[in-house]
Amino acid sequence: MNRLTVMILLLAFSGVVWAAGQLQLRPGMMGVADIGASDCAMFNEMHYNGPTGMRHHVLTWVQGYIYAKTGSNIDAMLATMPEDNGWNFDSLTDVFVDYCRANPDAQVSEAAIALWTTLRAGNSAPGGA
Amino acid sequence: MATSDPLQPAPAKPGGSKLWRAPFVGIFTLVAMLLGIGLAHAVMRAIEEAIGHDATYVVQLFLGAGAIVWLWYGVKSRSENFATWTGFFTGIVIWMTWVEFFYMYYGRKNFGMMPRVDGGAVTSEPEYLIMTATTGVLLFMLVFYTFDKDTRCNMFVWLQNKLGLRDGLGPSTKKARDRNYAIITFMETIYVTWFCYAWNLLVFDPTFVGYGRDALPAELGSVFISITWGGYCLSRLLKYRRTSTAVRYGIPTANILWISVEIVSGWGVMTEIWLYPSKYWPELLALTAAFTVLAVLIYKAPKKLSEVGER
Repeated sequence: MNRLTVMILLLAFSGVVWAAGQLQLRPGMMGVADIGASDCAMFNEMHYNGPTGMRHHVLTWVQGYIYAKTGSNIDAMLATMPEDNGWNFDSLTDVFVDYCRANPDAQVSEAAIALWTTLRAGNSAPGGA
Repeated sequence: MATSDPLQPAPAKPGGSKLWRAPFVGIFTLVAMLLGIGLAHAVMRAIEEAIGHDATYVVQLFLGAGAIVWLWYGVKSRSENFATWTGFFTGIVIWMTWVEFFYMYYGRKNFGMMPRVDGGAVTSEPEYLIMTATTGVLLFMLVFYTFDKDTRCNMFVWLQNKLGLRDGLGPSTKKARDRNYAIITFMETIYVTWFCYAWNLLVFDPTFVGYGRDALPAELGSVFISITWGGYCLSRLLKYRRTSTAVRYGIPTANILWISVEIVSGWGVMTEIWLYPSKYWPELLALTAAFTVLAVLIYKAPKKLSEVGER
């Protein structure tokens, strides 16, 4: 690898690092740029002040995570379960809300993955059928 | 007769109280109004914490309806004193319930909005993001008050004179005794609160002022305007002798000065204890007692006959 290539690679890499470090929303927007990278304590505070929006925000993150892992989505997973599985917006999002309440030091991504783990096991919603 | 009611103040007598005169009427009124603003915040937070958000969204409907029933009594009353206080209290209750809690319901629950976050901390709740969006509605109402010939607010009258509207508008169609002070004070309380909230929220909006040190010029400018404008109003308030008029003038005076309280709190100079009623309940109970005593004293202070509906 010649010196020019090394320099280009270093520059490109530093550019990626810079872009990742600068990832932020436009001023005035609500929410955070990367909810998965936030900790649960932050999520808990935001959830208290905007419960529906924060649940939607993290559920969307989970949808992306599941699609990246499986090429499928939550709807497709639910379709493989019995009809009375009890999963809906509230019961799905309760999984990571409860996780974050119990583990304020954890990352939101861990809480979100807890939902994926539960669904992958084919479990019905807690309190559901 | 109004004075036969123990709750009604005694009409002023010649050579009456030396306490209820300028500048004391203005000072007592300003302190009461400032306490009222802080305690209104505390009451809202206490309701949220005590019964939770979901129950609050329902209860606020009835609290607001109760305030309207109270306002109805105020509108019927011929006592300017009773009508003014009724308008003030019901205006605060309606703002807290039908305005703030409705925004809260739609923002936090129904629409699924998120709070605004800066530096890892929540800086604006969804209800205040919605409220910022009402600035246009606020402004068109400002146009109405500016061009309404029956507006008696000193600021609007000054604006009308400066805009050369006096001849075009003609004389007011209402005399002092034609005016209903309950609904006037009610609307004044709500509109002034709304205006000052919008002012504050725009100063805290990073879209326009940036973050951290970038926001400082806007914040310092607001504190300067708040103190000079509020100080000017206070200098006028200190000359008031009629307590009903002083209460109505004290509402904008206190709210304009409160802008500085909010901004200075944002700098971390002071703790807004009214936002944490469960933590600072002894302090807030003491302030509530002080407000209650002060409000009763002002309400029962010697009045001119015109203030108690006898002339």
